[in-house]
Amino acid sequence: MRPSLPTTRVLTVRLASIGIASLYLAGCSGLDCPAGAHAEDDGLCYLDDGTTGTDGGSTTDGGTTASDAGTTSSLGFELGDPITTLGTDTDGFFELVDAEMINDDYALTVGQGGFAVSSMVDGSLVVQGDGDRGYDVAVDGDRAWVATRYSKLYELDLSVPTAPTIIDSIELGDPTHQDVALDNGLMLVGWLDQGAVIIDTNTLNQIGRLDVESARGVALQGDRALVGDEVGGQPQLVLFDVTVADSAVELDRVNLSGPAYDIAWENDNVATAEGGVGAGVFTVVDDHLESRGQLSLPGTVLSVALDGDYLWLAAWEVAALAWVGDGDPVVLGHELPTESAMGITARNGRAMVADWFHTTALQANPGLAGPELVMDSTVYFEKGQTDSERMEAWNAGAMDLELSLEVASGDYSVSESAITLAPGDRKTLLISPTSGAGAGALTWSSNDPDEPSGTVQFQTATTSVGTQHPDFEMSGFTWPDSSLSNFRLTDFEGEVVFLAYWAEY
Amino acid sequence: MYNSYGGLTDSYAPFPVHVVIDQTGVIRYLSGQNDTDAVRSTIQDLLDEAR
Repeated sequence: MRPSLPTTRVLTVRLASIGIASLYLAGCSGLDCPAGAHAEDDGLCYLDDGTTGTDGGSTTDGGTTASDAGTTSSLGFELGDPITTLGTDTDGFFELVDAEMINDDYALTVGQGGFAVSSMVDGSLVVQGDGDRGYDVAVDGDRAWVATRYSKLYELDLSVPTAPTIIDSIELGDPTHQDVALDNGLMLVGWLDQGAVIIDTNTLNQIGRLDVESARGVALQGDRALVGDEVGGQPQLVLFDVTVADSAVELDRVNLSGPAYDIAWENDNVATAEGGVGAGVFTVVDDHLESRGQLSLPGTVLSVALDGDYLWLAAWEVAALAWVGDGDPVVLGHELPTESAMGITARNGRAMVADWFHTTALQANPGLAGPELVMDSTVYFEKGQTDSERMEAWNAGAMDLELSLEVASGDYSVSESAITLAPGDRKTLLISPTSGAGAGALTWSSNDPDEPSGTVQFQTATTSVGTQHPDFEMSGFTWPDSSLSNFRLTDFEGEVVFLAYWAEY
Repeated sequence: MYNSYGGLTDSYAPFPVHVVIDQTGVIRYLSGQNDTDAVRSTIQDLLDEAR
């Protein structure tokens, strides 16, 4: 007799190795209101009062750009591409997942197999070094500590940036360290389910432990520490006074929308990388955390880096630049990574992306902002399908997006031929086969400074969203409680099934 | 089975591939990215539809 099981089955198929990757996209417009004012829907100019714009700072995506084109204009932004890719390089081996600046000229990245130093001029690889699989890195002066997938952390001497050397290591806790931070002789290390500890980098002795349940991102600034905690399933950001490391005092705790995979902290500005829900922006005021808003962008925000009034974000699908100076935080634009934007670091207007198999250098173009179109590049139909499929257009940028669409081939129609989207707005379009779905395509054009046009392919697939999943047998697999073995997908009719193909690397 | 999926253009890498299948065997979610929020949302929607 089958035991009582939840109505959602999770079947996982472990296969042989690696992964990760990306997709897309971007856009324009200013309104003629004077500095310090913005235009609203009635066509009149209103003074900026420090609050959000016409959409109240919250759109269907839950609060992206806090204000509309008027605010970016009032801050002096003009239509243009805010990010330029300076160059990228390939090492072909290291799956790079985190990055930190060494100095204005070089950045350190870490990943599978060790570490790499790359040039901030063009992203070119200067030197690679073997080491345990790096998961996170922190730099303080001419020293770096790399947290690995195992129980080891190792120290790099960066006094000659182009010739880093491993000079020490410690064994600390169970794998995997989620994050590491360095400042002024202290190292803060965080783990899931194990909390966070403070290490004296001179003696390598543990000198304190922070009272958190599950640490992800960590950050240090002088005698203050930040930790991304999770209590009862609720992600939280916690501020500590670590003046006396073995008696750290919790100063403030705020809820987050998503887990803090990474934390950036510069002066009073704080940003949290919160995965699929975007990034949080905070200000530390008198030892309290004040929220300034949430940024949404395509992809999964895994890493953040502050550089003055700018925030760089690595969100897997895109790297992005946001304004976090005066006014509401706003995403200014995106840039496609070479492969996958896993980690990011920045200084003086330039950023380095830990771009999976690449290192990619980016340049911020001050004063420029644009719209960013996020839209599928392919829409799938069943062969012969006559029902419409939905395709969403989302302006994830800072200025109004103007989009024109036209069916280029195939027997299809699109519900709208021209739309205008305010920052943060989304529009659902219907793609309708006129005589049964087959191959086809739609071309689009937009007021995007760096991506003015593109194509959406219409394809049919036998196994895709909306089709019946073929039956298969999981031979050789036994349910954890041994109640089921050699089962088939059809054994779970009436239940929701989650199928995950994954690999350990 | 793995090679039969169409629509996995959102990832350069072979893994992960995540599929959510509804109670009638129809694919309701298919992605080459690790987006746990999207998976959780899809599953919850299907469970809610069944109530």
